[in-house]
Amino acid sequence: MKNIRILTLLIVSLNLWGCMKDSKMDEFSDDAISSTIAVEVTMPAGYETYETSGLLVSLQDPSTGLLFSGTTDANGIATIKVAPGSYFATAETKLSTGKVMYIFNGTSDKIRVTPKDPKKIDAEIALNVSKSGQLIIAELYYGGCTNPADGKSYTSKDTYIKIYNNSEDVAYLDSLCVGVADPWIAPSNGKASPWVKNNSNELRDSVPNSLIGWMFPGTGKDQPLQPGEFTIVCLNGINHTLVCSTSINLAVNGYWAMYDPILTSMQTVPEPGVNLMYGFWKCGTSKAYIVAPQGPAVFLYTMGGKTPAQFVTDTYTWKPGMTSRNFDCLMVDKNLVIDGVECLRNTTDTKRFRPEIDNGFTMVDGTGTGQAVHRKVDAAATLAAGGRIVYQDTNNSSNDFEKKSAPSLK
Amino acid sequence: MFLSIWIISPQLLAQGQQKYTLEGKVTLYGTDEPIPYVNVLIKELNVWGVSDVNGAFKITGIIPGTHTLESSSLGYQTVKYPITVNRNITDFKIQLKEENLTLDDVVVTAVRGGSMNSSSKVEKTAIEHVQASSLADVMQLMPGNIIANPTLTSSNSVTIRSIGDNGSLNGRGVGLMINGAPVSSDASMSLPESSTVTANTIDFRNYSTDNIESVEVLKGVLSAEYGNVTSGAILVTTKAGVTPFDVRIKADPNTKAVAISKGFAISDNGGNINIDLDYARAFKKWISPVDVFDRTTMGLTYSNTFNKDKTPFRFNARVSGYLSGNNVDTDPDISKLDYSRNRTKNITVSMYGNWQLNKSWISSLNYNLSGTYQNKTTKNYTVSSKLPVATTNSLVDGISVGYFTEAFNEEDERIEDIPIYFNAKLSGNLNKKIGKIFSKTILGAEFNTQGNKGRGYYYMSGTPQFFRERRYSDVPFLSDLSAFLEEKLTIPVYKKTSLEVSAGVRANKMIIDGYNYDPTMEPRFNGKYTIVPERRNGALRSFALRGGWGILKRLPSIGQLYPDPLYKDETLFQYRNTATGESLALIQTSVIDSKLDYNLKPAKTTNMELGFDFNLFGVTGEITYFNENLTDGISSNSTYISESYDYYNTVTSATASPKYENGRVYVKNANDVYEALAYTTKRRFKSYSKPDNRGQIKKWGIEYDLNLGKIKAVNTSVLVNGSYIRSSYSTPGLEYNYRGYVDPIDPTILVPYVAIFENKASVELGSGNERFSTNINLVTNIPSIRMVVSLVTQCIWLNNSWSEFDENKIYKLDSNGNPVYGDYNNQTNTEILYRDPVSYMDMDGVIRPFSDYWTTSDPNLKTRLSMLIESQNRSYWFKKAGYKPYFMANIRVTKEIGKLAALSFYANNFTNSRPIMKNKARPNATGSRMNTPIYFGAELKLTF
Repeated sequence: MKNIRILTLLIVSLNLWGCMKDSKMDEFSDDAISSTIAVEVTMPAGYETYETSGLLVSLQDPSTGLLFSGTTDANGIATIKVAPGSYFATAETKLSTGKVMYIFNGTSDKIRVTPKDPKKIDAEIALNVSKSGQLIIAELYYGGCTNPADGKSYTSKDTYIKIYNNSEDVAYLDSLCVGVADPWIAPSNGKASPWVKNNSNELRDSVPNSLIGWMFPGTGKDQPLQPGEFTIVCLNGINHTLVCSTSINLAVNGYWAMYDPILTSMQTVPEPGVNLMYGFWKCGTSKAYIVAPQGPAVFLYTMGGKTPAQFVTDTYTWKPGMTSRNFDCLMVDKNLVIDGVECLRNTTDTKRFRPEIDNGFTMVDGTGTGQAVHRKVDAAATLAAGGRIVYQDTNNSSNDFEKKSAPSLK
Repeated sequence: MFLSIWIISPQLLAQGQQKYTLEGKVTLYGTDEPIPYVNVLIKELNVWGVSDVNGAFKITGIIPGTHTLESSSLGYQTVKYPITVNRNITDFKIQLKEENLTLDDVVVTAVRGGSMNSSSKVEKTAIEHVQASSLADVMQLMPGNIIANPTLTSSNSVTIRSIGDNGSLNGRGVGLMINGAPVSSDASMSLPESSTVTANTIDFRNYSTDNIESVEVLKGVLSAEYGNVTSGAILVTTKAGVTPFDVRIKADPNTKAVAISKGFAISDNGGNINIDLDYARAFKKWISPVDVFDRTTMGLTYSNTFNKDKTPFRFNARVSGYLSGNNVDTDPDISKLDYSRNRTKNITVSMYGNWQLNKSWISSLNYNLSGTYQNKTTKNYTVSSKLPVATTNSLVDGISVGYFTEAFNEEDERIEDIPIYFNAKLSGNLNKKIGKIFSKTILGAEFNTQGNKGRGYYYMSGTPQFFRERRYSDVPFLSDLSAFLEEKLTIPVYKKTSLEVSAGVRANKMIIDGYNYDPTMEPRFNGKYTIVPERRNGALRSFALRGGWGILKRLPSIGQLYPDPLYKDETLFQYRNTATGESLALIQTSVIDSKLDYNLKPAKTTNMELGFDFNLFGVTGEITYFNENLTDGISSNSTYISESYDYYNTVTSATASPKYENGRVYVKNANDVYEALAYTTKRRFKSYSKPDNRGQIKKWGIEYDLNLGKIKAVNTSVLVNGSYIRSSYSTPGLEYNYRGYVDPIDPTILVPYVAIFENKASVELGSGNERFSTNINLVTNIPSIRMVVSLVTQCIWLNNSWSEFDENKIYKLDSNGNPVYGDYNNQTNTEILYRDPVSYMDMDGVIRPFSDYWTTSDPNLKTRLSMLIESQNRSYWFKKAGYKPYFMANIRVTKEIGKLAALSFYANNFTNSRPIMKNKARPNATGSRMNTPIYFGAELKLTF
């Protein structure tokens, strides 16, 4: 009896594996690929003269993992045959004019293809423009690890953000802000973010900074970061390996801790030598800072020359539809955002960043796994820079980031 | 007035009052075989006798008239019939049948109890038929109650005439009395491990049912002899008498139990000894061995009647106790180290009985003495990684140098809770006849004392941040003294119709250190008018109207009167350098010892009921309307103090070597010279909870219990009972509320105002529930094969809950931010609804009206006050939530195999009807599964 059950299970798994293989390998019969999607790619206002031909357009169904792609023709239209599904079309390109690298990317609305639909569907991707950054988020370690001493996960303690100078010029961290976008955990099951434009699923033009606004102290050139150098912004600047052998040492001179003796009085005090970020704004009742171990959306921004007090006054917002005041946010205009990385829990989660900030997403396998997301090295650019590591930066973390089994710090 | 009857009437009337004696013999039905130890009782007079080895009994002091004679003995069917005594009777014959399923009229449901108003009684046969795991399971036999699956792994509480028990106010009001002695949990100070039972309600799972002879539930207006109850009382009588060996083996998916009981006769006049022993083991989930509850209960009763001929003196002594414990291990897939265990040892010694004095000034005396010692120890062991944080154990106000908690924390928490109780109750009874009026007077006194000798919470390792030990033994004992007087008159009115009225009063004085309580008075009245006395023929074969009104009170527990002193700690400075081993933690503590600045009152209910009993063409029924109004229920509120704190800057230099001297922190500068460390001073609110007496439950309902008679062809009785209950809970008065939000203008401070709300700091004022249910019992009795089957269909016609709307106080905002007040009750509100506090308090304690928010020209004040407004975004909040009717069928079977064995089986929801239903208020939300999951169990009883 037992054997029969195992056999059945095996057959079912084989079948299942067969189906998966079909879908992943795009091995569809002509009947299965019954519909055609024509995607027109358009440039943003002011950049209409730029070429839209020869761009790669990807159609992805996040719920099934189906992936189809095509290239735009001279009119900027890519015609792609697809199987029934529910797709998002994405396209991106970058153009360099002198020292500035422009990145164009965009995502379409959801395109549904059912077997009964017309054979051809038109869709559009309106590209957004952004500039490739000097300061970038090179790594995020947010999911924590597992403590072998008690077998429980060690999370929300050793989180850090690695900020890197990806350019050939000195960068200054003075007044640079670090924030985590609201909601702390991405909406799941197709729920929309509450931060959308009226009567639309499109995210607002500003990014909600939740809970605490952190800023590097200094106003001018107090905190330089040389080309190819990095700094660490961490939740708790202590040597975590003393508590959990699989964790990391964050009690390092020159690292930055998100700690304030009044705002985060319940958090552990950083070791001497670790610098303190300046908390210029806080909401809610919590006495400790949170970076969701399930998948935060982390971003760097500036205040555009305003004082923190003025910036708070101008951007303070109640969360729509929310009655508790624990979720008030600062709305940071997208043009003030320097870099952002969207980390999701599931591929089907709803994104919190607009395409200009991060046109994709990245993720680890779950909390307590010890994994981190690392930015990929741009080998050609690194070679061109004479060995100074240059990271890939297309404002699409699906391309730019990879999951690794451990953080880079020890 | 009542006292005067007691004092005067004996002198005037007693000399001339003729009293008679009833003598007779009790034998087995259809034979001459005598039955010893049968209790023969004249119910109305509470005079009794006990049969000896020859079956002979004698009752003296019977006032002439027609009374009810009740004869009962363990193992025999209780018989009750009217008897007219107008002379001395010497040869009265009573015949009893052995109680088993060969009888035609086996009762396996609740029957009407002995009180004038609402009461239900369940006998041993019914308890065995329902296969109760604990006393809580017996309650499902009571009319109007809902069938529940047994769970021994979490606390079992019991409520009476209640739905949606807010703040456990009803559960706390249920009195449990075992052989007349009250059972209490008020001196217990550690909460039970389950969140289902909170403030000191009795955990009924600790009481097994094998030693129980009968359970009676009193509702409505209780006699003045019952104190410290507001919802009703559960009276348990344990077995006393000669019984064969009874062995019960019980199993259901989560519970295994075995019980043994036996009653011996020591010698002909040496009295009886009853022993009972029970062991049960329950698993929370039958697939997992990690959450286990064990219970062992033991009991030993000695009972005897002395001086049977003249002034019989009934003496019972019982020693009983239980050992119970929960073992909860963490799922080994998550952690192998963590566990939680608790053990409860309980021993109760009681002496109780009745003395037939037969004097002109006293007919009989009831006495009851009992003491309970309980020891509950809990161990909770948790291993976790926690980051080191500053802590202190300082017990005084001010700044202290603290230390840092362990990073890898092995928290070994212990709780020792040793409540001790003592109760003494004495009451006298005088029966008289004044003309045609029969009078029965009860006068009594009761004394209770209770306290705790436990150590409370302490830690063997891994003490958590800011922990302070507080020994329960430091809390003084709470005592209370009561006196009660009740006069009951039976007045013949016309032909055989009669009026019974009782009027009583209970006075109580609470005696506790630090408080001065005025005595409370609880008047209680009951009446019954029998308009049509029982007759065998005609359409209306009996009819009686009854009603009652009274006040009942429930004292607060010592944990509520003596809450822990509070220590409000704020960390001012932290420095930790693992490289050099230096560290400094500064903490400012405010001590709040709030026990003496307020007086908690006992909870009070005003109960009223009106009902009628009838027999129409053989269909008997009872219909009761009740209205119960609880006030002074204990509710939570908060109080605020404000304190100034000097927050020091964090030191990031590794060579700073900070020190605390003369009230300031000094650090070394770059030149190795100490200088004062800069700080910022901020003022903050510190809140602490302060219970008050705002809890209010308004409740009314209708209970019905109909016996439609027997369908002769299939020997099946049809009983229909159920209730409609509507209850609303609110906390009138001012509620202080402080959310502790960061100030929206200055992030380094918190909002500097406390909101003061009417009733409740929320959009709604309170909550309400209603339920209408019917249980249809079909009881089939097949004497020829000694089997009884009962099929119970439970119908829930209505089960609604709602939030109470605050008329004209709730608004929406229009596009300009102006309030739009309106009636948003019972409708879908897609926009956010707001409710303002009535006033707000600043840090100096100054209270201003909240209308400032709408009138102020100061934008900062407006922004800050906006943080105090309560709002609700759920569109269904003010819609009545509920489900369409749903039904569930349950079956219970008992079959006797000769005299030796009986086999029982039950299945709750045996059709496994668990429909997924949509909540009426939320048609788009996911539905819920109704009814309890299918559940079944079996039991084998051996008798030898």
